[in-house]
Amino acid sequence: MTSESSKNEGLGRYGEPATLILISLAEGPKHGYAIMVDVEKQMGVTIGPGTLYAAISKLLKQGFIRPLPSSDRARPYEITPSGREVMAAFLKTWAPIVKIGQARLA
Amino acid sequence: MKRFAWSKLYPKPWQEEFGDEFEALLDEVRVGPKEGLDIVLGALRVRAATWPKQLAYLVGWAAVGFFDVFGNEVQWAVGVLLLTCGISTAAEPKRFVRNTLFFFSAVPICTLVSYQFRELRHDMFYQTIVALIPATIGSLVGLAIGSLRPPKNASA
Repeated sequence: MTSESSKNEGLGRYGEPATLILISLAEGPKHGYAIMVDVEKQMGVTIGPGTLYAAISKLLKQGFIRPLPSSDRARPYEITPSGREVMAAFLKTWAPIVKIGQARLA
Repeated sequence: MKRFAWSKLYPKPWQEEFGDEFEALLDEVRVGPKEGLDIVLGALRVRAATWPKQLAYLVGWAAVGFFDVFGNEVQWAVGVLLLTCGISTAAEPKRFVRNTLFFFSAVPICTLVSYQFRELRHDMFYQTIVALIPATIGSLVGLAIGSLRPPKNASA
C-alpha cells in the first residue's frame, strides 16, 4: 500500500510527464512510441524522447509502472496497482482545483 | 544512411536496460534540434543522477567559476543554465528552486573574485585558482547544508 506522503512525492511538482504517462497507461499497456503518440493526440502535449525515458525510468524505480515481456525491441509497460493509487490521489487533489478554476473563468 | 545512436550518450547500465527500446522509439520519431536537445538534457540528467550529491554541488560550482573566469557572458549563461538545471534537478529533484538559487548565487561571487584577479587573467595558473575558490566555497557550503539537514526518517 502506498502511503499518502509517497503518493504526493511520486507525482510532485515536476511530475507532469510522469502523470501524462500514467494517464496514458491507465487505458492499457503501451510502449514508448505509443505513449508519445497517445499523449500528443489525446492530451495535446508533446513529450520529447529524453523526457519520456527519464520519466519512464523514474516510474519504474518507484514501482508505479512495470515492463511486460516482449519479443520486439519496443518494450511495453503497464501501470501497477500502486501506480493507479498514486494517479487517483493526484486526480483527487486536482479535480476540485480544476473545477474552481473553470467556474471562476466562466 | 545510418543515423546517430543517441542512446550512446547515456551511461552503460541505462543503455543495457533501455538502449534497444529507446533506439526503437527514435526509429519512429524525427529527431530535430528540439528532440536532440531533449535527449542530451535527458542523458545529462541520467548521468548526474548517478553522482553523489556533493560531487554534483562541486561540479556545478566549478562550472560556474570556470565559465565566469574563462568564458564570455553567453558561454557562462548557457553553462550555468544547463548545469544548474540538469545537475541540481538530478541530485535533488524536490529542491530544484533552492538549488538553482544556490548555484546562481555563485555568479556574483565569482564575478567579484575574478574582478580582484583581473590583472592576472593572462596567467592560466591564477585563473584556475580563481575558478577553484568559489567551487571550494560552494562545495563546503553544500556539505554544511547537507550535514544540517535532518535524516530522511526523522519526521516519520
